[in-house]
Amino acid sequence: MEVLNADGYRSDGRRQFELRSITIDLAQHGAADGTATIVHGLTKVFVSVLGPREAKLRSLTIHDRANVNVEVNVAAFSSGERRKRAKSDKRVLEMASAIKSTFETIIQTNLYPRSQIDIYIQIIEQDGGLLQACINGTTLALICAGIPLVDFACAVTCGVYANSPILDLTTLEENDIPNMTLAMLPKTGSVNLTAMESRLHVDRFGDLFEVALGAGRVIHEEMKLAILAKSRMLVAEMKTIGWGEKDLVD
Amino acid sequence: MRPPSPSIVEKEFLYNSLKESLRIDGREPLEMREPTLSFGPELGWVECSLGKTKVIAQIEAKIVRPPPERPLEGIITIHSEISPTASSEYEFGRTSEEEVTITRMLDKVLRRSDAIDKESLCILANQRVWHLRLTLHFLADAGNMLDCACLAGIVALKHFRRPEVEVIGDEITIYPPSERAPFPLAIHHSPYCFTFAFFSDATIPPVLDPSQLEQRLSAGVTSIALNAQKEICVFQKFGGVPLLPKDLLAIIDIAVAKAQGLHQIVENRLKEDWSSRTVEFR
Amino acid sequence: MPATSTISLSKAEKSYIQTGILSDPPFRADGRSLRAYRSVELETGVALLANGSARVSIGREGINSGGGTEVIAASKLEVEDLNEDGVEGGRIVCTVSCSPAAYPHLTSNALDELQEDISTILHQTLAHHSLHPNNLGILPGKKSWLLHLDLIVLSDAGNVFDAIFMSARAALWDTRVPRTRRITYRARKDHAEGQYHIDADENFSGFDTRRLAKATDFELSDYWDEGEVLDGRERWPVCVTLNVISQTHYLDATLQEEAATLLRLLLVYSFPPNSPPSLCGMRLVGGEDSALPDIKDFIKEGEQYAQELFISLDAKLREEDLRRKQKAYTKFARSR
Repeated sequence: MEVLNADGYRSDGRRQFELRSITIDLAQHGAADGTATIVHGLTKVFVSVLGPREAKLRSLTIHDRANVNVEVNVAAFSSGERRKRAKSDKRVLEMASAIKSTFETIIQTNLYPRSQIDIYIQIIEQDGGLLQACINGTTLALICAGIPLVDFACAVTCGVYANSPILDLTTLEENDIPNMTLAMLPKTGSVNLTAMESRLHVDRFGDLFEVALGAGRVIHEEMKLAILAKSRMLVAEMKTIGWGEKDLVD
Repeated sequence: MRPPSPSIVEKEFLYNSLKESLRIDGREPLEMREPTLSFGPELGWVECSLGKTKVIAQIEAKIVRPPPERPLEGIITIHSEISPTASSEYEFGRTSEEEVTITRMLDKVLRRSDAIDKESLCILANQRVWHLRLTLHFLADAGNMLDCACLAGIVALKHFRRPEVEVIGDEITIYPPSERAPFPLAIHHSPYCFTFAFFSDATIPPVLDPSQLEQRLSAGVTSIALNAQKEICVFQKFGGVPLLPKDLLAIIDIAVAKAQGLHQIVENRLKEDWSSRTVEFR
Repeated sequence: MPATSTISLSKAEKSYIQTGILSDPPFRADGRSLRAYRSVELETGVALLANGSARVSIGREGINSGGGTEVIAASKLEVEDLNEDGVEGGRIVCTVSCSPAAYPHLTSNALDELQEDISTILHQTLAHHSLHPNNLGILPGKKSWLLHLDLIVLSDAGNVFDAIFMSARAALWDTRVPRTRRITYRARKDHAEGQYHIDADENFSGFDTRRLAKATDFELSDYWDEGEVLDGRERWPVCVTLNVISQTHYLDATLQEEAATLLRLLLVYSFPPNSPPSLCGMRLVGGEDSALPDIKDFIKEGEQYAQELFISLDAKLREEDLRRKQKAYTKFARSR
């Protein structure tokens, strides 16, 4: 497959650095404290956050901070070919553990000793950039649940084709070219997660980082806009039931 | 059973000494424990230790029918279950997070990075291919089992030799080592894994090849697997302290240098071992 | 046997709910009458990579307050070889999985059991031969479609079975089966029997599909075509759950009401066009017993409720079909 054709277009008509369309839905669902649905192109992930609450198992409590529990569920119909992944599938477990350790440092866990924060991720559609969607979705759901974070975590997938970086890969592209998922904290511009599992020469990394960090900032803006819109709506709704500006300040 | 967390005194002592670039076992922050490789009488049996961390890797080969979707490729499977032998931390039948990390890492380093030429493991298309089975036994965990296991795995693959096979028409003849010299595997490149531990205190420098205590007190690790040709196969940092891109690039540079050194050590040890073996030709 | 409830209530709370239901006129916490449903939302085409999909929610209270029972259903078609697992004429397999977010109090073992129970009920009802669509076969004696219907319970605020059957019906309604065309390889007469000749010949084209002698393989007739709907999609059933407290019954229980109700009767009705409705599944869940004459009455009344539910669901499904056609059309018009 030709990842980038002579005119500089990719198989889905995008340019090299073009991200897929991002849709964010922060409506509340069910009994969760915060939920977010994030769509990157054809990848769709639904994240629910519950907690901080009492741990299901007492042995899981940590005396000086909250325990973060992440469970990932892949819908059997999410991929091109139907595939039922067991809960004990190592790839799924690894992804859960990557998300868990990413957010352990971002959530201010020390504020909630002896409690548990559950992050349940449901993958509804997948077409590349799965980890990216999960991390971005989790950040949004955590914010909706009102859990204090040190910063956003903005993730993006990037790859290298014929020495030039490419952003936000689809499954087809992921299978074809070396790629890396990177999560960055926009405030400091530092990197919290990198996951790369294909062969790539060391010299390519500098460029790749730079492009990915730029893309991270763009995704951050999108996420921030969604959060602000949601907050405005909440404030407007509070006013309709008689909360004045003064109450909000207090 | 979860082992008790390190005491405050231990913690303070480790942090304070690391601030002065001192490690409890006397190493420099970016110094690796010297790997010891000993080979068994059989080809493809390696005992690898980093300090007190010890892993045995063993390879068996058998001939099987290939799956219909990949008729031209051999099969490599990796078995890496951590038993309580390594440390009381691990339990039978329960997958620990460490096990998931190690299993997935081995899979990425040894299988997905195309280290072994799978097509060369094909004997007769659609009919017979070699099935390599790499089993790892974790004997002792004194920190950084991941790097030790990866090293043991790749060395075992490099050490292994499969019997010579001849195909005439549909007939396959396997020659025992006594008749014809066995064949080494076709290895494209040899990736090595390096793990760095980072600490939440920014004044503490990162350490390479963390010991068990360092690992437990660290705020996250970063693992890089790469070969002597400066190609990174896995670059994995799951959470932990957020790092600036320039720091990450610096880590990569260190790993590049270390990989070349380690590659030399491994090649020398293999050569030494091979010269001590008598190969009979008839 | 599914657990009657997934949350626990105190005795006082239970008796409060029960007294409310039994008093005359009856009282429910949300002010509904005994036969009223909460608001039901339905959307089809929610998973683009599936052959058909739908999302159903019962009793969502708005985008800022959540609540409600939510289920996603999606169908996926796979080609099966009759020599392996395939069944002549195709088959249907239903699987339900429950998100841990829907049942935050259950351990993962209990969750597995629950989804196993729900899957069984759904599968036994929908995979029954009386409902089987006729167009799941591809090549007689060779290949057929396997329809996987996967459901995910995203949240449970009571009455999960009605939601599951509604979403299953909607997803199956939405399912499109790709059109296939048979291909024959014709043996040349001067060759021995069984030896296939695929090359195009002057007289015999290997891919000549006009003269169907013996089909050996198939191809998709049009890759971009959406395909045809499942045959007899009007037949897919709906479920009404009757919650029984002594002789009174009520519909669409919330989670708290379910916890205060000892007996539930699931009635699954199909309403095939031009023929009388048929009861295609019934299940009594709970720890209470009920007199047979009562159950007969329940079944009769259940049919009435199911009919009402069916009619409004049907209207909504047709509306969804129209909406998506409209959407596709406007998109197309805009891109031009």
